[in-house]
Amino acid sequence: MAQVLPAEHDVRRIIGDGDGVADGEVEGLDDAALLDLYRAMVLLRTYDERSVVYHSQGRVGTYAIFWGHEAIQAGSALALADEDWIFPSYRESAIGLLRGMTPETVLSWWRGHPAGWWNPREFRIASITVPIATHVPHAVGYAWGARLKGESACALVYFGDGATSEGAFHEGANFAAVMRAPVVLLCNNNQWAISTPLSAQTRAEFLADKAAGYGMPGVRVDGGDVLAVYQATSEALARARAGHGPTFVEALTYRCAPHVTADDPTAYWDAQRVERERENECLGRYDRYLRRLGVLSDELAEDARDDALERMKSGIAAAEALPPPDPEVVFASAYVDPPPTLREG
Amino acid sequence: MATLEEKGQSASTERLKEFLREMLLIRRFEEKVEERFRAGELPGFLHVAIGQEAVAVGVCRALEEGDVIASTHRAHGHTIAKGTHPNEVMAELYGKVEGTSHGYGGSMHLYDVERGNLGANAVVGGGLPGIVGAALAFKLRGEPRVAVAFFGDGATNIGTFHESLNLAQLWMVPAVFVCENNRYAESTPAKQHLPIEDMTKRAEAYGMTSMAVDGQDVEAVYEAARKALKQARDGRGPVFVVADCVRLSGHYVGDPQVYRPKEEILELRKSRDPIELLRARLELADEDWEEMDREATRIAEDSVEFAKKGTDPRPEDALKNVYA
Repeated sequence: MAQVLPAEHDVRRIIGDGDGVADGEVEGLDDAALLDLYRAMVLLRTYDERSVVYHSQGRVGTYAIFWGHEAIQAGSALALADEDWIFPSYRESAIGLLRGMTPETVLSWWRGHPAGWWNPREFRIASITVPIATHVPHAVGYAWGARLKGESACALVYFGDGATSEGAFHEGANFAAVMRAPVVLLCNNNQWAISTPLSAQTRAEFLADKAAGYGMPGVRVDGGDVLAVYQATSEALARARAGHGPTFVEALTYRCAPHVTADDPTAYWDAQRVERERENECLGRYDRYLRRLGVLSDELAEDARDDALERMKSGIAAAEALPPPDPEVVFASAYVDPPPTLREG
Repeated sequence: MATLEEKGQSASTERLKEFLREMLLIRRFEEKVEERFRAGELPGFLHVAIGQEAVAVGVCRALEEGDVIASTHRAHGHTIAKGTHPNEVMAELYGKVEGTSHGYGGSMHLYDVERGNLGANAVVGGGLPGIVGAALAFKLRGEPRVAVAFFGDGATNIGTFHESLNLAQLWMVPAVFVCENNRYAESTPAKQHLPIEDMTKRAEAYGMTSMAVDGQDVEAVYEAARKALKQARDGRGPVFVVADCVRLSGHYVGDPQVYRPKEEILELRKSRDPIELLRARLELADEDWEEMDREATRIAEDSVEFAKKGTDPRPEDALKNVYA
């Protein structure tokens, strides 16, 4: 049986502050790879900011904002191999953009259009899961299956701090540990489950301590530090691929945006804290890091931004140009043999 | 004159004798249950607690008036230890109106709310959320009562275990969670369903106090339970107690246990039977033991007579207690 390791409590960081805290680096990431991470973050940031605008214009439905979580998403997704699967929650709705999915597809999902129903196998990205934590067992099942088949693919599952209180998380994590399923459990601890603060969620001091009960390593990482997330995910994947089973990664951050476009967080959050966190947001931190290294120029930054904006512009145009869906499509994939009541209708 | 120490020792010996009497009663009751089930007299599916008597007795004797428990599918021992007369338990197994659930429940639905038994539960892990709810009520009402959940090692893999312990610790409710770790979830050995060796580690996920105890040693269970109950009652938060114990019988009556080496049970019966361990420790004279055994056997036999003479529920009453 696995030895129970105490979880790491120190938060891992790579990016310095340009002042007293020195910059580190991740072995194996060259300049091109560093810029790939940058472009991925810019694409996600642009997608998110434009989506909030589109929502206010009535062009997409209620939207789950992920502003400030780009480091967690890009840092982890780019650490994956192509064959690895991603199991997103609604907060990672646009993760497909990092695997060649078009903004048109993701925007269509939020517009409630069937063009947003991607084929999971095509992108190795499972459907977006809205119920909290129910996709943790899915990811574990996939990973266990891959292991049984002798494949080297791993799974990465995203969930929030609130999900760690769910039974589905517990059962999934436990099962993963028992079966040594090659899965990375990535918890985006943004301190809020909608309006419920972490302090009203659990009395555990560190979410990474949840790992001890499963006998798996628990790691804490600065969720605003894309390189730290990349490194922690890479290590977890290497462990998983070597047959050592799952890892729990707690990416620590703070939600500086509403839960979704329907939420008014000013009723419950700490405005001063939000102000501070925004000043230290992940894309700006990485931007300054790359400039200190001499890897990023104004021109490259502008290019990345322009390219992302252009993709969004054509994405929304293409999504809006789609013909309205046939209402009957709702039933198309619901039954192999539709019941008589549906057939008659 | 006896010294204070001698007086303390004799009180402790008397208490242990009481524990032994009660454990033996549960054992003889369970053996009777096996016998009558095999004779085809008892309907349904039964799980006996042979080998785990020390946990039921050790914990229940540490309780105070007003404390409540929730049991599991292996509920006969807990129910008797919590004060329900064996007649009422047996009558329930026979499906009679005189049973503790009036014949509506059976083995896995033994309820006795008046005596603080919030029920057996056929669903693994099903009793825990109810215990957190009861404990929350005690806290909100300012009552000095504690709610105790019994469950097995398999239940610690269930979502309700996780949700219950998290909320119990978050709200600091007066609850004690007693895991009877017999290292089998039905036929699945712990090494196939538990990723850790030391079960108390599970409490770390909630920042909860935990303790491990030898579940075959009734005195140790009693002392651990007293400590845990005191912490909970004093408002210092819930406790996770892991009692390492052994199942000396099958999962259910009639279980061929093909998943378990035969020698394992034979060896455990010799070395880890909680009743034999206590009997040896007390150095009981043979006649005292035989007297105790006759009494337990008589109560178990009487319970069968009582149950057989019971009244069958009327079929038209089947839906009577379904809806308020």
